[in-house]
This record gives sequence, structure tokens and C-alpha cells, in this order.
Amino acid sequence: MFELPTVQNSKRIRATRKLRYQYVNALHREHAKLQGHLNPGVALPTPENSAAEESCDADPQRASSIVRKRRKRRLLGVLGCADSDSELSDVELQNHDDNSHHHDSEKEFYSRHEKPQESFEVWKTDQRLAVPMASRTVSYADCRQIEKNAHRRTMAKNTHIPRTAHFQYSAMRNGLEVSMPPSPAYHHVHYRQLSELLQISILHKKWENAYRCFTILIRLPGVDIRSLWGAGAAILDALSQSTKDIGTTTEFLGWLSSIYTSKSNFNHSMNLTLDPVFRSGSKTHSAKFVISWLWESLFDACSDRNSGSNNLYDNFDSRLPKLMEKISEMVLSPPYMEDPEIWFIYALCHLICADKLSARFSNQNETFSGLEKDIARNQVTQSITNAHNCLKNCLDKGEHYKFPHRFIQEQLSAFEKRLYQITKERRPQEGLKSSENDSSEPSSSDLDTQELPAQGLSPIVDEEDEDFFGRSGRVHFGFDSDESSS
Amino acid sequence: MSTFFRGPLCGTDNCRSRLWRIIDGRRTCQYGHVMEGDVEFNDDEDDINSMGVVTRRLNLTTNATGNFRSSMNSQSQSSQKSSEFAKVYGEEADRLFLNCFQHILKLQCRWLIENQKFPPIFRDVVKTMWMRLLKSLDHDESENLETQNETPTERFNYSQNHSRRMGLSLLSTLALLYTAGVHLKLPAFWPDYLRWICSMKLIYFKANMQLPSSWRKSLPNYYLQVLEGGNPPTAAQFYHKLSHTCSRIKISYPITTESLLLKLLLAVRLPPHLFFYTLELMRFTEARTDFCEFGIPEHRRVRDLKLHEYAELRTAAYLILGLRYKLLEMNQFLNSYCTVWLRVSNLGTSDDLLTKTSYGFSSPGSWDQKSTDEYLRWIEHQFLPASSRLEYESQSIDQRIANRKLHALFPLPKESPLPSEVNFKAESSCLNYIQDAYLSIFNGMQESLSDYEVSGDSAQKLASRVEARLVNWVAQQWAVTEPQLNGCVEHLHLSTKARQAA
Repeated sequence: MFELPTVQNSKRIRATRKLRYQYVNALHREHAKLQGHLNPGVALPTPENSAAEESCDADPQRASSIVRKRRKRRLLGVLGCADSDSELSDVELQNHDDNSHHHDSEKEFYSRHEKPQESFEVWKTDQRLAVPMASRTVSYADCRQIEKNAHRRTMAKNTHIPRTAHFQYSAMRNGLEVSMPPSPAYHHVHYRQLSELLQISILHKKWENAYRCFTILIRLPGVDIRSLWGAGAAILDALSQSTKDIGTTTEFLGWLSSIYTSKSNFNHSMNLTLDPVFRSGSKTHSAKFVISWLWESLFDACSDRNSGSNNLYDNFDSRLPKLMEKISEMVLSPPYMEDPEIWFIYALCHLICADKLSARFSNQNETFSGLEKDIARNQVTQSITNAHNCLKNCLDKGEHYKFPHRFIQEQLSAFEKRLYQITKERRPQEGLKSSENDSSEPSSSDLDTQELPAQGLSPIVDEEDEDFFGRSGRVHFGFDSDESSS
Repeated sequence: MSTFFRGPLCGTDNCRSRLWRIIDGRRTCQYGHVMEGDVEFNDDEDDINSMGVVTRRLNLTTNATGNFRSSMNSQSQSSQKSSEFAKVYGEEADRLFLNCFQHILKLQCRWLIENQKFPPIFRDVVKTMWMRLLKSLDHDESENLETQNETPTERFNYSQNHSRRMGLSLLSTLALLYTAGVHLKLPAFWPDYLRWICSMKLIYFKANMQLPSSWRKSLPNYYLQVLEGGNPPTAAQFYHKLSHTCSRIKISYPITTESLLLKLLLAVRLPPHLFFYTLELMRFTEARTDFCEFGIPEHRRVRDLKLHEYAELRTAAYLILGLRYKLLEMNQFLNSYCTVWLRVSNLGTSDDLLTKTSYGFSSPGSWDQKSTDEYLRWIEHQFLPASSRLEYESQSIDQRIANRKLHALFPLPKESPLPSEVNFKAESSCLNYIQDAYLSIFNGMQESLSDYEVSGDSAQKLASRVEARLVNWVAQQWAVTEPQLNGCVEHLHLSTKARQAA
């Protein structure tokens, strides 16, 4: 019922996939040949090739193009520049395929198509960008011919293949699929039972059972935790408050982020049952557990304030800068460099930092000397500038990432005004209404008046969470702390 | 003949060539333009040594302890390792395989003697059987080599022996143990062995993990696969193997099935009267004095395996048949008993549930909390240690440290009672459990006794339902399919009819 979190990489599966992609590629090539234009992207541009292309475009008749190709080859042969790389004939192309050892038909297939991870959660709903469907038709006889040729070509390369692979291949040619029953092997059966029990227990919220299943599963060989971490994080979320010696979600996510590298390429043919790349991470995609870890540690860094107002300052000081340091390292290299969400988190860190620093200006109890004030003011300005930069990066990196840009900018400008406003305002702590009357958002100014230095940042974070990430739980937290302080 | 190689666009006089060749040490394009500023160094091979310094890029990575570790280093280590424990092939591999097989057999014997209270002589009997089997292997091989091309059957045997890895598999160990048990007249039957292997008490699945590591490393993969266990034995594979083994060691003992009958009755919680009914039926049908004893039938091809010839299936079929006749006779007690019996939720013990689970017939989604707990405890104490036994050795130090950190985040629940205590508890609780089950059925009978009357129609319906449930249970616990068991029952039914007519 549920997907098994193990790594399956048998020879048989690989052979079947290879055959399928070879066949699809052969079909594509045959079809292109029939349509009269060879795929120009296959070969690198050489003088001969570009010449061939031009003439191809001029005269798309199939028969004449073949004749011309032959002539060209003959001419080249006479001239003595038989360049093996120029793809003037399919025979040569095929030889080339056989010779090159690392040729991957799956890669060839994906070079023509959009990879699943590139269109994941990208919704192109813009009406103006809509393109009419390509609705060229092929006659039945042509279609049969293409299929026959492609089949012949695929079989020429695979004369000796296992019977099961051949069976699956012929089923695939007829548009069918061989359903593979789950393996009856003893260990697989029990793995399956365990993962099923895990999922069912989570659905029924039987966290004790789920925890036991999870602890067993991660200790079994062959189980990839990258396909399981969501369940593990959920279990820890539910249990870590009440149970003694188990870790927390943040620790777990931190472990994942530190263990699994983001520097490897994601190879389709190697990762059969592993999680897709947008969840397990690669050179091009940051893993989801890393992002969740950053969010979690951001919340951790600024939410723990009912522990007492005395050590609150220390908490803040130690954790947020650590996180910022971590992110500043991460954004130096791909994939995090290109991920708008990371930049957004980074911007939020700066925002909170600016808030905390500028809140000192509205705090009447603290007295600055002139020099200290200048330094503090500089710090605030620096944070605000950094936040702006990060937001700009975030906007640059991804047009699909939506966030309340205007609101954040208003907040930032509000912090900036604080620096200069507060000298005029003589307001003791009862001034709930007007210490932030410069702020353009009335709701934020309502919440944003605490005399404690770090209190000021809570409303911002909370509002954003509520509005854009649907986590209203944090908001209650913020209000609670407000009540306790007032 | 000069060869062209690809380079940048030439561009001299708007030349479009990208192909270059070396003429007199100068890079010249396809149309004869010489590349400007291109100096060819004297890169003959002898210079490399005279230069003295050869640079290469080190792929340095840090391991978990923070030290640098180059990929080069690890490669050389691994190559060294592989040369130490190379796989052996050919005759040597066969010999090693037999060694491994014997080792597993020894471990199995030890477990049976220590935990199931088999007599110590059991070990010697198994040894004798194994010796005879070994002798037959030798014999087979020499015979096959002599008469390789004589008859089609011989050729078939030869190819079969070689494709089947000398005809040995882990099922052969069970067949040997079973034969030895039969010889000693021990009340241990196939369902018991199946239950033991499915609860991983008797070494069977992943048996190759129990081998000494040097043996495991040098044993070829195809032999390792034989000792892997893999799929649990299905559909009377065991009986086939049993006949095969017995025909090879040329021993056939009669199997006495009374104890099996009693065991089966108690496991499915049917009334003990049925024991005598079944014996009666057997005496009538078999028509010989030793009606409880059956030999092991001779070896045939799988296709014409006659399952009703095997003692155990025959006994089960007799029991099912006896119950059917009695129910159709409208035996008042049995009818009311079986009405209640159909409502009993779980037959057998928790180990029986494991057997069922191992074949995928039951899934934890439908279990109650108690069975789930028991299942998880079994996984923690039996399955997990057995399957992750060698994982630690195969990991690098980084993986070990990482895993240790992870396991510290998710510690296993702490409950480790002493094993002996568990066993003791299990034994006593097993008896109690059976008693409780019978008592609850009798209680149920007393409640529903008043409002129950027997009619022909309902008796037939009841009989078919009871039979279906019994067949289902037995088939699942004995690893045969329901059609196979039904076939046995029908065969016996016919022979009883014939006997009656005579």
C-alpha cells in the first residue's frame, strides 16, 4: 500500500529501463527522419553540419535529403576529412553510440524533455503564454513503419537480453505495463509490514507504535532515511516534548542536513525508488529537509521566550547569529545559492536582527552614550541593508517564489525610522499605541510595542507565519508572550 | 594521414572552419589558415620523467573526525582488501559451500537441542544423514560424468544437479532435520519447523550471515544466494524436497501422525473428541493395522507430485473430512461447538500469526494493539539483530559515527527481560492460552445452547463454513495452497466412498 523506503537497484530493473529509453529514442529518431528534419541539437555545429542543416531547412523532402547526405559523405570521403563526429548518417550515429562506453539513453531522452524536478510545483497558468498543442498527424502506415524500424534498431543492439526484460519490452511496445507484484521474499515482506504499520500508526496518531517502527526501520540495512525523514520529524514533533531521551525535530533535521551532501549529481538511472530530487537534494536542488531545518531553527531561535526574560537575551544572542553564519556559508555554493527560499530565510534573519537591534532605541531604560549609539545605529543600518540585498537576491533567483515583499519592506523602513524617532519621543512603557505611530501598518504597530528588547520581533515573525505559511500555532505563542509581559 | 580535431572557430578571412590539424607543429585549419600565437610545446613522453615533478589533483575530503582523507588512499585500501579475500571458484568453491552448509546444519541442530529439548543423539543422527547425502552427491557426480550423454534422463539429472547447486538448498537442511526427527520418532513436524524458521528462531533466512566472515567473503555469490533463504518456502516445496532428499540418502521411515493430529487439534481449538473420530476414519479407510504410519513417498517431478501421499497433509485432510462427516451427521455437540468456534477471532499462537505475516496473508493494519506490540517486540528482539548483524562491519567509520548519532536521537525502547524468563513465561502462557481459549468457547456454547437447533440445511452451511476456515488456516500455516489441500481432501473423500462401497 505504501512505498517501501528501501533502495532497489537490481540489474533487471536497470535492463528494462535501458530498453525502454532506447526504444523511445529510436522512435523519436525514426519519427524525426520521417518528418524530414534531423534533430539539429544532437550534433555540434561544424561547417558540414550547418551546411546540411541549411539545405535541410530549404528542402524538407525526405528522399532528397537522404540522397544529399550520401553525396556529402562521399564528397567528404574524397576530400579525406572523414570526421567521425559529424552525424551525417544514422549508421555512423549508431556506431558512435556503441563505441562510447558511457552513453546513457536515459540521459539522451531527458535532454529532449523537461525533467520532472524542473516542473515540480511550477504552475504555468498564464493564459498569454499558452501555446497551441502540436497536432500534426501521422498516417497509420507511417506509424507502423516507425514502430517497426525502431523495434528493429533496438533489437539490433540487444540480441541477448533476459526473458523478463524482453517480456516487459514487448508489453511496453504495445502500450501495456507488466505489473510487478511485491516481492515475496521473507525480509521484504517484513520490511513492508513495518513501513505499513508505521504509516498507519501515524495516520491514527498512535505515536508510540510509530516511534517503535521508525526506530527499527532506521536500523535495518537497505533503508534510506531520506525517504522516511518526514515521518521521523512528525514523530519527534509529537513525542519529543513528553518523552525523555529522544531527540528533537531540529536535531534530527540538522543531522540529516549535515550527513547528506548537496554536492552530488542526481542520476535518474541510479535512483530508482529513492525520493525525487526535489526532496532528497542534489547539486541543482536543495533538499527539503535542509529548508525545513532552517525554518525550524529560525523558529527556535526566536520563539523560546517564555523561558524567562533574563536569559532571553542570551538565547537570542547565541542562536540567531549562529544560524546566520550557517546560512551565509551555505549561500556561497550551489544549490543553495540559487534557491530563493534560502535567500528569503536569510533575509528574515536579518530582519529579525534589525528589529532586535533597533528595539534598543525604543527602550527607554537603556541609555547610550553617543559613541555606542552610533555603533548601534550602524549595526541596524547594516542589517537593514543586508535584508534588502537578500530580498533582492530572492527576487532575482526565482520568479515562482511568492512572498510579501512590500510588507517586509515597510517593516524594514519602520525599523529605520525607529533609530531617529525615539530621541523625540519620551514615552514610558504604557505608551502602547503610539511608540510606533510612524509605522504604516496599524496592526503591526499595535503589537510592536514592548519594552523588552527582543519582544519586538515576535509579531513580525508570527504575522508572516500566519499569513503565508499557514502556521497559526505560532501566533498564539506570540500573543501569550505579550500577555505575560504586560 | 593527418587527423582533424575540433577547436575554436578559425575566423581568418571569415573562415568558418572549426577543424584543425597539426602541420609542422603549427595548428592549421581545414582551409589552410595557420593559427596565430599557437606554440606547440615539446611534449614527448620522455620529458615527463626528466621534469621530475608530476602533479595530480588530490580529491581531499574530510571524514567525520575532521582529518583529511584522500580518495586515492581509500581506493588503495579497498583494493588491498579485495585481494586478501578473493572469491574462490570451481571445485574449491563447492567444497567451501559444503562446509558452509554443514556449519548451518550444525547451528540448527544446536538450537533444536538447546531450545526445543531434542535429545542429544539427534545431532548424531543428523550427522549420519548428512554423510549419506554427501556420499550420494559424490556418487551422482561420478555417475553423471561417466554417462553424460547416454540417456535424456541422465542428461536432465546432470543439468539439474548443476543448475540447482548440487541439489542443495536451505530446504535440504530442513528435510535432513525432519528425517532425523522422524527416525527418532520426535513429535516435530513440518508446521513446527515452518513456525520456527518464520519466527527466526531456527536459522534459515539470511543464514549466510551466520557464516564465519572469511568463509562468507570467499564464497561465490551464487552460493551465497543459495544460503540466503529468500522467499519463504511455498506450495509444498518442502514435501518435494523431502522426497528428493530421502531418495538420495536411501532411507525411508514411517511417520507416525497421532501427535501431529493432536497438535493440530489443539492449535485450531477443535474439541478433542475429533481425535478419535479421525482415527476411526483413518482405520476405516486405510484398512491396515498400522493405519497411523505413512512412508515418505518416492521422488517425482514437481508437476506430478501427489500431495495426498504425504503423511502430514493426509492427516490434516482426514481431520477435515472427519469434521465434515460429523457435522453433516448433525452431531448436536459438534454443531453447536463449531457455531461458537467460527466466532473465535484468532486461532493459533502469536508465532502462528508471524508465519501468516511472513507470507503476506496478514497485515498489521488489521491487528489489535496486543498483536502489534508482540509483533514489534519480536522485530526488535529477533528480526532486527539477525538482519543488521553484519551491517556494522561493512560501514566506514564516517557512517558509523553518523549512525551512532542518529540512533542516539532515536533510542530503542528499553525492555530486555532475560531470555530464559521469556521462554518460561511463553511456555506456561501457551498452556494457559489454550485453556482460556477452550474455556471461552465452552462459555459461548452454554450461552447459545438454548437457542440453537440443528436442521439439515444449516448443518450443511455450517459444515462448509467450518471447512473453509479450517482449510484456510491449515493452508496458511503449512505453506501449501488451498487448492492443494482441497485436492487432498477430495481424494480421500473419494477413497473413503470407494471403501464404503466395497
